[in-house]
Amino acid sequence: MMNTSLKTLNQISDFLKIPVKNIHINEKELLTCTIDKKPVCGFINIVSELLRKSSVLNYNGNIEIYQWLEYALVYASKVDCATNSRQILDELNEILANRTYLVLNILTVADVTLFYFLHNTMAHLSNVEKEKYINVCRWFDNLQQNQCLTNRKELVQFNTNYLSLFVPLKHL
Amino acid sequence: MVAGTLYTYPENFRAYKALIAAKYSSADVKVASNFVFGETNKTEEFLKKFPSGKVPAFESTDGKCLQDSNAIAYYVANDQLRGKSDFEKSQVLQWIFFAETEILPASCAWVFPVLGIIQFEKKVFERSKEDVKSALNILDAHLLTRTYLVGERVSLADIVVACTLLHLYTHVLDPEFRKPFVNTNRWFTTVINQSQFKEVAGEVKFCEKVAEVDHKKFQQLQQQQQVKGKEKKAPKEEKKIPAKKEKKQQEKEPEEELDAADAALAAEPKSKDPWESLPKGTFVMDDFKRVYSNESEEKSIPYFWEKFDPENYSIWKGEYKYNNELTKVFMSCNLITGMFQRLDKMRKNAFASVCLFGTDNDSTISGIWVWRGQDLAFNLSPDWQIDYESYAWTKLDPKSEETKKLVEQYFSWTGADKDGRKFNQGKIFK
Repeated sequence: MMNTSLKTLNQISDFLKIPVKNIHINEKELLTCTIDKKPVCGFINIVSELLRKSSVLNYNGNIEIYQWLEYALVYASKVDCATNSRQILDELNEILANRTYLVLNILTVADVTLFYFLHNTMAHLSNVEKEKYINVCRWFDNLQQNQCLTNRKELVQFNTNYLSLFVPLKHL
Repeated sequence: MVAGTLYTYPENFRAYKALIAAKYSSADVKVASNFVFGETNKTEEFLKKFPSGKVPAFESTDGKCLQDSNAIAYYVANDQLRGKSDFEKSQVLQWIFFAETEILPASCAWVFPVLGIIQFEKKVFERSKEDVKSALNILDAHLLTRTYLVGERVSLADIVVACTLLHLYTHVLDPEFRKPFVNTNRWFTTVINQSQFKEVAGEVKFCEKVAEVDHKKFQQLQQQQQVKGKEKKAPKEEKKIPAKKEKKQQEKEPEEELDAADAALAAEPKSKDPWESLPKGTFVMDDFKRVYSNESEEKSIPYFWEKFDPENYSIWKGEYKYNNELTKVFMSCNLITGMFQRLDKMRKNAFASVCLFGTDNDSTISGIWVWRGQDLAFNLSPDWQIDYESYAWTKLDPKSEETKKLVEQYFSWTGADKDGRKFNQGKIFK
């Protein structure tokens, strides 16, 4: 779990174009790093600090964003376990039915963080699962087209979902 | 970089398309500040540049002139909005035409009667709802798997379709109606909340309750336009131009005058009596109704003929036109009472006995009506015009023996209809 958080943190820092140094897990099992020679401790604190310094996303201190960061850290970071992934995808699928992005109506760090945490899971979904989590897929597909977020070579394919209108899966 | 001036009246959803596109592309588009609708666009100078005189119209700083909101929006947009490949560009066009042909006509037919801009016609009105529904279904299916209409970013397609839906979402799509269109709602909410959209169109307020047709405002606007037309000596010939689009553009006009209409409405005494223009005469409707309710027909019918004032009142026979569609007796009775309810304000100066003849699946509705004035009373108020077209109206001569018989038959609920069906039930409008 710590390793996934560590990897995600690196990706967020790349996306926000603010370098983090000396990233490690300290003796209290907390994620620690230095930003601009200043030590920062804890995943959410680090992301907040990165946001404050970055101009890639508008930082608006929306409290919902914090809630999603916490959700990402507590649940989504353990998405690799099958039972967890099902629960998380179910929850997100319901929420994303009515929303394009998680918070407000624009891309925020909440989307970015969950995007990185879920990338591996999404890449390994079967076609049937892709259709079951059709709203998560739509959201994910939209984000992955953003060249700042991913390398274009690693795009997850969702083409089969377009067929769902013509031949919807019956056994779901 | 494109720069220029846009001619439009305020809060024009067509102009929004170009203005929002300009926000995305950072094109320098300014709205002409001294533009007066109906004046500026009628000047020779304006018509020389834009022969149709329609707005929005755009003139770039280097003198290029463009008409039609979609063309202007396309011109002031950037590559992201227009679509990156030829295929994407064509998709954008596809959605623009979808908005123009599938959404806009239905939207106007539904929203304008509600705003009181055009006359309410039940059939057209109800059909427009179905048309809107099928357009929204198409959108909804498309957006199930997609975030935006074309590609993965906001394009001109999103801007144009969302702008075209603005009136629908703000005036008539109540929560119950829009509920099934989850994907369309999500997409619309996202598009209208982008900063570029909000800067132009402001905060969009969703319709909260079922919209009702505003007959009063329509009348008011009609009167105002007539007055205005006389003052300016500029007859509204344009209204007669058959081209659909031209007509729509013209219908836009009252929209910007709504505020003025509101003000005029507030200044006038509340709810004018539709009967005001007709002389009162000697027949006292209330007295007759009292006698009719309290006495037997043997007394009340002679009383009616004794007091009836043929100068100022008239007797009519109304026959239901669609008798072959009548099925159950109770449903036909509801049809009659429903009509009575909708005519509530007519009660003061009208009386009727409407009867149902026959049995289930073989019945007719007809009635005898008495009201103040010599013409069809339903024309006095737009509120009364919902049902009357379903009936064939014949004015009866109060002096003839035939009328006397009919009156007696209907007032005393006896006899049969002209095909011999027996009297079943009667309803009194009083």
